This record gives sequence, structure tokens and C-alpha cells, in this order.
Amino acid sequence: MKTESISLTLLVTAGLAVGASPASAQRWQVDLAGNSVKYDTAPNDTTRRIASASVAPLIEWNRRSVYATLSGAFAAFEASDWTSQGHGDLSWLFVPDRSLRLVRGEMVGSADGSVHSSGYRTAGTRGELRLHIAGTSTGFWVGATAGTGWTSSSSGVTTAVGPTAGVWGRRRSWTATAVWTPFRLSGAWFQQTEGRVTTSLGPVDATAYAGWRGAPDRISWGGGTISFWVARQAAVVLSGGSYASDLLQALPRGRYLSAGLRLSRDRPSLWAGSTARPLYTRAAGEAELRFSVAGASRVDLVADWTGWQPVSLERMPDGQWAVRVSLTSGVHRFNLVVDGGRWIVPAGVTAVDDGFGGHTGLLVVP
Amino acid sequence: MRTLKLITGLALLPLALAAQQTWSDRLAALPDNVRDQVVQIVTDAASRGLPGQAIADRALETVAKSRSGAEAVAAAQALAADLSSGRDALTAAGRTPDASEIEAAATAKELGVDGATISDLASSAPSGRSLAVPLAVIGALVKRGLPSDDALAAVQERLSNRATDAELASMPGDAGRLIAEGYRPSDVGRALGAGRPAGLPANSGRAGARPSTPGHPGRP
Repeated sequence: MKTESISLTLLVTAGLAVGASPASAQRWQVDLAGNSVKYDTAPNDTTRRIASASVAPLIEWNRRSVYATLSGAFAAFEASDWTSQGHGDLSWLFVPDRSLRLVRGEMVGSADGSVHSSGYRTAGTRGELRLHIAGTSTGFWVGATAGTGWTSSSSGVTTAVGPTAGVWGRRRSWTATAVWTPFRLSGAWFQQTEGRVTTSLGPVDATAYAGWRGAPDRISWGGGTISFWVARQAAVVLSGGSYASDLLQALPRGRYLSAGLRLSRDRPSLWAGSTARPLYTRAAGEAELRFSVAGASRVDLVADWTGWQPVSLERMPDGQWAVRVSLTSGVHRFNLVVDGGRWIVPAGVTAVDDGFGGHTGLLVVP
Repeated sequence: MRTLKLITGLALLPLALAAQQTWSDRLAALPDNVRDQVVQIVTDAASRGLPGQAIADRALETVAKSRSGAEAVAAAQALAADLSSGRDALTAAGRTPDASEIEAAATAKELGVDGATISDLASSAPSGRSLAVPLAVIGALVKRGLPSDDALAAVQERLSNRATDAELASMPGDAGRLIAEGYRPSDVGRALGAGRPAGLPANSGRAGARPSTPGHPGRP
């Protein structure tokens, strides 16, 4: 029989311990892919498509109000060339005033860099301040951004500044985002908008995007990615389309097709913000319950799964009281009986009035 | 078709009898006059598709706590009513709840959640997702003083982010910590969601950003 040792405070209860550590989550994934890319390095560029093999790891860290990612990509081209890229994001979301229920502030910082086998290198940084009006399913923001870029073939640092605005909406598994990011670069204003739609339909996650940038270079781009999750930690990823040039780092625009395998710690949420705190994997079945009961010389468990007959707990070397039980799915009720007389609900467990002047602890097993 | 139903019914009969055996065995611990009344309540509830085992357990709990037989019968009747109204709130949203969801809905009602909130959760939750834990978590948040709407919104937000049951279960503890830090219960719901709101894209609007595609290469 599959067994699990589960501390009571780690069980899925309807009210875990007060003072629990803040929720946080880490996620990683690695993409292994074959790609075909055509770069537009000149207006009438006729460069053929270039095949490459790539590996692209990503680490994501999410702790309630702080969201960070670190990603990279290494691609080996068919002609023995290679390129590597790195990217990092850090976002801090805060509530400026608790009385303003829908208002959030956000500070965003990011950094990019790339190195090519020819020795060409680039780097870029960006900072942004946003003011969000965020409801449950819709929201918008306004803000301001500033960025810098550098390449090994230029003598100085290029800067760009501009306002930003965005709107987003969510309905069931669909999320749509539109962003307006005009920016001033090298004495000229560029208008830029981009839209993105994501959804999750069964084992398939899909993203489609499109963008447009106005004069002086006036370009548009678009594409999509489909991830088919063949297992909880593996997906086949197909993507294709075009992307815009990066003016700060002087990286060309391009068209691409890509097919690969994504290995992930877990299937990611479509949206950042899930504050995962893995507590256990599964509670149904045989489990060990542990309780801390100060000053007790004897502790019994009475519960619906014991027919409300007392079951003695064993005192463990660390002073806790433990018992092995077999739990079925559903909502369970229990009490501890201390020294044969006092009925209690352990601290941190949600208690419900039992209707007779006492309380009963709740234990929910999915 | 009728033959198929008959075969299915015969196949399920041992399971139904086994389930009844479980709670009727347990009720043997009750005094005779109480047992007959509780058996009647449980049998009636089970015939209406309600989880009879939970009702039997409630009667046993009452007796174990040294209450009278009349109180045991009243507790069983009260739970049967809660299970029925909890089930109705779920089915009103088009849901076909299982026993654990019906029990969780009844528990949520015990903790102060109204039927409309239960229906709202059921209608908005992803299909195929068990509501047992989400319902209990809403109840626990309400028990901690959160307005019912706030508790519902916070849980809905986590569900839309594909939060696991374990992740949901951390919410009441987090709510307690926030309250201990000085948050008013009426502000806790938003604070619980003060992680990035569902849908709010992380790092969007990056000027000149390239799509996140597997191994998209840079300059050749």
C-alpha cells in the first residue's frame, strides 16, 4: 500500500496553521528544439533560412508580490556558428493603499544579453513603473518606461524612453492582453502596439500574438505557440511566426519555425500569480497524523473515520503525538481527547461549532 | 437498454449494500430507540442521493460527546438538511456533485457561506475540478472574518491560476497571518490576491521584445 507520512499541519485542511510561511513557488523548464529561422538583416535581404538546434532553460520564481524569471537560450547553427542569450525579469507588485482595493503599483526591471560565436555581443536593460487598476477578470495599467542598449560594434549606449499602457481581460481559460508602448529612440518617436491571446484547452496551451510598429521602420509581426502536454512534466511545443527587431540591441527581425520538447517541473499556469506552496502530494490513503499538544500525558484521537471511538496516539521522540490512519476523500471531523477528559481542536485547524458548546476540527481530503 | 440498466444495477448492488453495511454497522453503537430514527434519516437521505455516511457519523459524534439521543437525532436531521441545501446550491449551477463536494458544501454552510456563493463557485470553477477543497477553503476564510464575496473572489482567482488543492489550502493560514499583521478582514481578500492578478501579464509591453519561443536564436 502506498503510504505517505503527513504532518497534520501539512494536510489539506480548511484552515492550516496561523503564521504559515508566505506562499511561494519555483518553476523550471527546459526547451529542446529544432528551429528554422530567416533573418531580415537588410530591406531586400534574401538570406536563406538557417537551421539550428537549441536548448533554452527557464527558471521562474513567484512569491505573492514578487515575480522573477531567468531564462537563456543556446542555439547551434548549421554552419558551426552559435549564439547564446540571457534574459532576466524582476517585478514587484505592491498595494499602495489598502483602502484603494483595485489599485496596484508595480516596478519592473529586466536585463538582456547575447553573445555570438563571431564575437558580437549585445546587452540591454529596462525599467518600468506601472499603476494598475486590476479587477478580478479585467484591468488596465499606465506607466512609464526607460531602456538602454549596447552592442559591441557601437561606441555608446542607446537609450529609449516612453509611456506605456495596457489592458487585459480574462474569461475562463482565455486571457487577452493589449499593450501600447510608444518610445523615443535616437530622436524619433516609434509607435508600437502588441496584442496577445492565451488559452488552455485540455492538454493544449496556446498563445497567439501580433504587433505593429509605426514609422520610421513600420513593421508588423505575429505568430503563435502550441504546447501539447503529453505528461504532467513534458510537452511537445510547436511555434512559428515572425518577431520584431530589437532596436536597442540592434538585433534583426526574423521569421521562424520551431518544434521541440519542453521538460518542466510542472505544467505552468497560464498566468503568473499562482502562489504555489506544495504541501503534499496526496492525502487520501494511509497517512501519519502528528499533533503538538503541550503538557499532555495521554492523547486520543476521536474522528468520524474511527466511528468516534478513541484511538491512542503514540508519543514521538520530538514530543509530538502521532497516529497512522487511512483516510478517504471528503470532509472529515475529529477531536483530540487530552488525558482522557478534555476535547480539543489542535491549533491551526479550522474548527466548527459542534452545536453542543464545543468545537470539532475539520480535515478535508481531496 | 433496460437489460443494460438491469445489469448495471446488479453490478452496483454489492457496492450499495457494502456502503449501507458500513454505516449501519457503525450505528450499532447507538441506543436502540435512537438508532431506528437515525437509520430512517440516513436511509431517506441516501435515497435522495445524499451521503448517508456523513449523517450517521454526525449522530455518532453527538453520542460520543455524551449528548442525548434526541440531540443525536436532531443533529442528524440538521446535517441532512444542510447536505440537501448544499447539494441544491451545486446542482443549481449545473454541477453533478459527488459525495465529498456535497459534504464540503454543507460544511461551508456551517461555516457561514451562503448558497449563492456556493453556486457562484460551482458555475465558475473549471469543469472536472473537484470543489471539495475550494468550498472548504471559502468556508474557512469566511470563518476568519472575510466577506463571503471576497473569499469567493480570492478562491476563484487561485482556481483560474490552476492552483492545486494544497495551494488553496494555504489560503486560510495566509489570511490568518495577514490579519495578525494588521490587515482588516475586509482587505485580506485583495491582499491574498495581491500576487499578480489572474490575467495580468508578467513583463508585457517590453519594447522590441521577441516572442518566447523555444530557442529563438539571436543574430546569426
